[in-house]
Amino acid sequence: MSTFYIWLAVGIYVAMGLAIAWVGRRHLGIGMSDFFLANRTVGGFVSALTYSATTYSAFMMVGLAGFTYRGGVGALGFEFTYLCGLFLAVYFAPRFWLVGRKYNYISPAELLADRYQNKAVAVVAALLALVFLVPYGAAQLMGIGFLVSGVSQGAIPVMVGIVIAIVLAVAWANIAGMRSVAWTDAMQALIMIVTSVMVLFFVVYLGFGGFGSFFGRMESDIPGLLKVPGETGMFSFKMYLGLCVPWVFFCLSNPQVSQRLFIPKSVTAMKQMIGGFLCFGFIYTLVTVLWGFAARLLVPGLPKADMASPSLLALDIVPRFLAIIVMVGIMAAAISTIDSILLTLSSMFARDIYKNVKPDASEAKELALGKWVIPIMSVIALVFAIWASRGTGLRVMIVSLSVAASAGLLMAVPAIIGAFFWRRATAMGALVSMIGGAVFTMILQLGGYKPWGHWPGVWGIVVCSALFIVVSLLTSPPKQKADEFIGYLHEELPKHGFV
Amino acid sequence: MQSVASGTSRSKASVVWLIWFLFLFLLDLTIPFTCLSEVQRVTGAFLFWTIWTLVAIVSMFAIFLRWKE
Repeated sequence: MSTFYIWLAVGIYVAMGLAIAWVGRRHLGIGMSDFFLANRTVGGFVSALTYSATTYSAFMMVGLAGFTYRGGVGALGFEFTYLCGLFLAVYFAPRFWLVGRKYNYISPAELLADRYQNKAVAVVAALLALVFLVPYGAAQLMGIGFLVSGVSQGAIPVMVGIVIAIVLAVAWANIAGMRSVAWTDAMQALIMIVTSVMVLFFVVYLGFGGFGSFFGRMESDIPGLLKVPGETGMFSFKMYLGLCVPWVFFCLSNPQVSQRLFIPKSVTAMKQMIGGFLCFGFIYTLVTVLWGFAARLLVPGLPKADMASPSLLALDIVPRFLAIIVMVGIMAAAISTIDSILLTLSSMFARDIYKNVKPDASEAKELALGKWVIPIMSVIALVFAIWASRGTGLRVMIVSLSVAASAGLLMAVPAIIGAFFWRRATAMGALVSMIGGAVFTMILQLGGYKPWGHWPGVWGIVVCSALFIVVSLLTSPPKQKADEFIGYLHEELPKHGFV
Repeated sequence: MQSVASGTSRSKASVVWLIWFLFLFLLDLTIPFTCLSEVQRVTGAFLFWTIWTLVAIVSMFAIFLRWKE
């Protein structure tokens, strides 16, 4: 693949992204809400695409295609289960949206602190996000570095790929906050979906002669991958459950995703956001899994399953220009996730940690600090990624932390559900469940323990929920706030036909 | 009075939908690992999970399309 054309494609992508981000800057107002939430005025189309691009990272084209390559159809079930976890958004999106507007919440942690009338809840929720999302961001950077290097056949070295990704993520988060992130996300989501579908059609029609013969080859050549647990037994029921439990709560547990529930400008925009994401997710998941199956048929015997997508793109049946655009599409998938994580973490650091330590700080100072946190967090993620990519002793820890991220973030879910549905829930219940659950899950994760074969996330949510309920029952709830908060929702929900 | 009635019916609808989604997740966790565990065809777990997802998506659309400004 010509190095010139690769750099040309990357250059066009960067130029388009920067142009969009600068247009976003022209609409930038003042204050935290404007910078971090685009003043809650994002339209349905952009909301749907930024939600999709933030949710779907480089994991899809690298990890999920690799999962399919190795384990078969279980990967489809797991990822579709994750998508259908969005049924939680049907319940929670209207609630987040309503209270976000009434109380002017910037982050999900701020919502929890106000509802439970305890600032420590915000600090702990923010720290939980920092601990688990930074390694997750670092894993994205590593993925992008290796993938870009692999697809370009070394034309773009790993470190160059990582640095490009982090510089773009910082730029797009800093230029106009949520506006530049959401708008560039929209562009990136379109690149991701269009290029992946195009490659699938090229591979299926030129590699197999059409979908009928493609499915026929799947049944005749790799029948063991069409059932669970699969021919290697990879997708056992316990593994499937262990993957699904943390991810089904993704729309609540991951603050960079739940923060997006604050941004639609209207009920119609919120409907379009959820509906658009469901359509995007269905297509993108199906396409990615079919990539994995196609790679298994066309390039069998790869030493590492994660090489499935790069190997597929290297085939002669995929036009070179398209392979280059797909490489940019996968970069886009990772960058759109990283910039959203950086923006959310900076908002949480400014609002939920700094503001609680210095309550008299002005909003301008809070915002200035938040903007500084974006490059600082990116440097931390970069250092993590460099250590990991060089395979030092820290690598094991980082990989484990990344795997633990989804399970660790899950520990905020009982406190979130309780905030909206249980008047008896208390701050102490929230604190003990988040801290206790996270420590317990980390011990299982880092120690490699799986009691009775079940994964740390499954045990974590059980322990965390039990702690939340028991400690809440033993302590006093903020009755007045709970009545006001839940009472407001009971008044407003029927007006909009929300369930 | 009307608001209490609409609140109650909303609450009932939300519980019914919740039970429906829990039922769907139960199917997701059982059918491919039991009835379809020996079906080595595209019309097995692959088709099941595709249709299962479409049913879940249509259910979500049925809920949120009723939302109004």
